Amino acid sequence: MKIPTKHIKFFVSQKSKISKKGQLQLMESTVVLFVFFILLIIGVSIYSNFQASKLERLTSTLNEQKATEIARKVLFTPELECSINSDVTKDCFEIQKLQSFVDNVRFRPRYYREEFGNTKVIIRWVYSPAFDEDNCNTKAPAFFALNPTDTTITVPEKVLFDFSSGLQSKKTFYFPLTLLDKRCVPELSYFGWLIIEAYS
Amino acid sequence: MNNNKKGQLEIFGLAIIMVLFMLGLLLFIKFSDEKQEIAEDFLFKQLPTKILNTMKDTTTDCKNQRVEILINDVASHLTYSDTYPQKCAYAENAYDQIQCTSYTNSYYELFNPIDGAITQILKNSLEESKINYEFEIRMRDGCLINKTTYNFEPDVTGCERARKVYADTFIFTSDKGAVEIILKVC
Repeated sequence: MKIPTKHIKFFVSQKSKISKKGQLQLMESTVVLFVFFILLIIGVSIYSNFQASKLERLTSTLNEQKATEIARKVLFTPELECSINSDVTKDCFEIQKLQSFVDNVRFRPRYYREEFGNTKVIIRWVYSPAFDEDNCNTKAPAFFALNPTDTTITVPEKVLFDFSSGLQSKKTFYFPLTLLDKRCVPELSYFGWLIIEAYS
Repeated sequence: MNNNKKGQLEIFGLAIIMVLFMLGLLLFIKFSDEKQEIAEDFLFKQLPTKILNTMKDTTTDCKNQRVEILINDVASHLTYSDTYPQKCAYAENAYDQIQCTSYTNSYYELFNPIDGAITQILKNSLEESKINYEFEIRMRDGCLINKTTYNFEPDVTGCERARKVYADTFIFTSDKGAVEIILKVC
């Protein structure tokens, strides 16, 4: 049976119409998918950035907590703490113990590095009465003096230990503390300033 | 024409969704930023208490007396002025204070602007470390014995514009009543 030409033309035109519509729908779906993926990528990148900054903040908080722990460890170092009549005084270092502590750290750096982590601890002399004939000490404590004969504080700031290992990022914490001078009876209390730099 | 409009509306909807999405993310990031500096704050919060505690036990140049004793001495020998009821007009020159040397008394040993004990303590600790503060010694009734403020920013005194202020007050008892020592750091 022979199909008339006009029928064939009709079918061909119908087929091309359907194909065009399909192409359009396909393109629409592609565009929607494209936009969807772009949105997804933007979302993921923002989220990952946010996560990274959150992680950074968490690390910084952890570092601060670590620094607090170290600060507490430094403040309660048994090698430095003050004892009067076998009572341990809070927030107090004995001046006469400072130099031997510095020497100890120099001889056993590994142990102290493990104990205190990447920190630098500085001790600053803030206030003490004058060292003259009114005072039982006529000479400044050796730890804060350049020469043993000095009658005034000549080195007001000294590093107790430095385990910063060339690291740059740091958090600094300050603690006031009593520096106990046991050369006199009764003992004299000076005002000291402990600077703890926690590196990461 | 109809299809075109529908397409435009869809794109417009997508744009709105995108803007809302971004806005939500931004808000989320902004408000989840609050929990910073926990440890730092914790340590800073303790600073006024620790400073006052250490300060009160510090030995001074005045016959090796502690700061607490000298403050008590100044407060116990206050003379109130009739003209300035809120200010202890004669705190500096009360004759019956401890005579530290032939020409200095307790007040001078504590607050002398060059080498007074409290002046030096605040200067060599807080000021050296660039920490702003307000320090005040006053009687409970409001009579002001001494006030020191520091702020490293120009045109600002003490903690007036600070966002975070931590403070502590120590109270001693003197012959003339309670004396308050207030330290604010910011």
